[in-house]
Amino acid sequence: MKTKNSVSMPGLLAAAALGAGLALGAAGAAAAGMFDGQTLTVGTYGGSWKDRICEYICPKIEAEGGKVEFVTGNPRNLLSKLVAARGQDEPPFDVVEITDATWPVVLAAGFVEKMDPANVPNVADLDPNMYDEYKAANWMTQEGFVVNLKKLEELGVERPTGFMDLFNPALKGKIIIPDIAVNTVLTSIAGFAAEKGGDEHNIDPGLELIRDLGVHSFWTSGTQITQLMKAEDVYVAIAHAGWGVRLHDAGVPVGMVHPKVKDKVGLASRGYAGLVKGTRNKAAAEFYINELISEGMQEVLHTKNGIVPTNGKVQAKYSGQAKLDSSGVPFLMLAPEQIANLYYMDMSAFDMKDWTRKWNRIVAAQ
Amino acid sequence: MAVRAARIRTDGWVTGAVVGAVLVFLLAPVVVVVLASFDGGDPVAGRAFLTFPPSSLSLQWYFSIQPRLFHALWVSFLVACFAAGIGTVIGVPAALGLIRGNLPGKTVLSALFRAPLQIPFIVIGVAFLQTWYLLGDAFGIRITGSFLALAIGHLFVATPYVIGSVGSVLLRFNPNLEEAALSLGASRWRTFRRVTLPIIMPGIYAGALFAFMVSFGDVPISLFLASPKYATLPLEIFHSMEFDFDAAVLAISTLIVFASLVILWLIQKSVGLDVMLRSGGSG
Repeated sequence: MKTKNSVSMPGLLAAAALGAGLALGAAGAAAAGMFDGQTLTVGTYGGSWKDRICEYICPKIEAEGGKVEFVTGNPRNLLSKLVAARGQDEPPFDVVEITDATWPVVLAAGFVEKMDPANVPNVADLDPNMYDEYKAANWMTQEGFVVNLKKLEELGVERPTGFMDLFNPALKGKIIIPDIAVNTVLTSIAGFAAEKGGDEHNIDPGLELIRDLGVHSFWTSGTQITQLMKAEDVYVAIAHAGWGVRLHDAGVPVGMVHPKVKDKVGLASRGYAGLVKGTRNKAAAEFYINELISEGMQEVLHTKNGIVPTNGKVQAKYSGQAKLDSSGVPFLMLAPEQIANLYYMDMSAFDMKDWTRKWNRIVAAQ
Repeated sequence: MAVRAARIRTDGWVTGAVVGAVLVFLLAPVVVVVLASFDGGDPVAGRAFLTFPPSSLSLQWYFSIQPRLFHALWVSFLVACFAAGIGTVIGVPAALGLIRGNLPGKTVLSALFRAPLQIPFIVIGVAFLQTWYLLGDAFGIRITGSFLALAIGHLFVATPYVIGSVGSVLLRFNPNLEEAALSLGASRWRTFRRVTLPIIMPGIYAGALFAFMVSFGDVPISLFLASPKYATLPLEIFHSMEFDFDAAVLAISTLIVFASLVILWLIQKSVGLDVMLRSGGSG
């Protein structure tokens, strides 16, 4: 005889199924990520830069159900893609990583939109001049002279301290500097110009000095620097310190010179990350930018790629720990007062067309 | 007689020296890349610069080729096959029309067909990207970033090579051969298939090969039309070399060299490359 409170087998099964369904539903809800089904597209540099960033950030976005894809290119390529896509519903990428030299154009053209500061809390670790509502600096390089210490010693040439020291006859034809197509050249032009009373607002004196320097060649790819320095075809390369570190690690006896420019020492160049206007993945994009400037990411990029971290905590951690060359001089200046004393070029003075025209007329025409 | 023999010997030496110099000029960069890819030295140095001659031999760089490079190689291969295949399908009738047809303004048309080669490839890349965006705006056809968007850009520059190559064979073509076939009762289609096609086949092979090579090695067009999913190998190598150096790119380049040699060897063994190019594959 069945009691009133007895439960039939079908009832039990139904209850079990309902329970299981609820449990699965709850588990599914718990597993749902912030970026489920979203594909974040990032415009950035190629090579190991992209790989290192992806190794660090991609798993975090994937853990939230999203995916990251990269469109690689130099800042000018990325800018061209933004220009080509102007007026489209969907931008070619959600996040753009671009240099300080290209940033004013990107901003003026309205290619970027404001970030929500609440979603990028790591900006609190950045110096105020490293971010604003549109961008966050995620790398900084220190540009100067990568010098072959052994060769300088053999030639009896003192380690240079400023741009005019490069005019030593023993170095004629042994210096490689960036081409006008490479952003690194901009601060150098300003640095050379400063020696003759000019600066980024008056570059003609700098271009005339470059013309008279008698360089070996103008580099367009970092590989040219390493190849020519290793072969000892050149003894000095104007480049950022990361290339010096790379050559040093590979056994080439190089050191870094941070040249004096006016009352400053060393040349700074920065890279910014910003949200591309019209992004449909704003939350994921802000998450990505926040991760780019995080302690962990900055540490990886500093130790593996030789950039100067923009995150203050990482700067403090590595201050005094910069890699030393064979003569005991650090490749990077990481102390906060040194970073503050770098020459930060006013990038709004850079007009690509005008500078290229002048370069072609004064330097390349020779 | 002795003077003539001596002159022949001297001419032989000179010819040999010139051929040798040209071979060295053409092959030296390939030999450097191949040997440097087997460098077994310090991996840190291998990520800074090319080491030649190798300090020791190793396959370390072959094991460090990233999967994305193999994927990019596959994309490049598919795009180049598309450009060569469709370029041939378009190019052969176009060449026949240009050379044989009684079209008004043939000279202008001929110049138009060559136009893609006179425009800088970088401009072609930008132009196609803009076109794809406009197409999306006007008709809702959104192919930006797709395989088709990339492959059509390559097809644009590959087709003139087929037209040029087939066209130059057609210019030397003896029309009496076709007339003979027609007068003996062959239909126009049969005449084309049995007489015209075998004769112009070397031009088709050469054109398709050029088209494949132009597409396979392209960077400027891919720079604008490639996407994260469809990035070509030259583009990946270009971006790597722009910011870095990694001897793994030498390793994958060497694999391509060896693959090309194996394919040529297989063609030679099975058909005979020289016979194929001479007779158009008809044996």
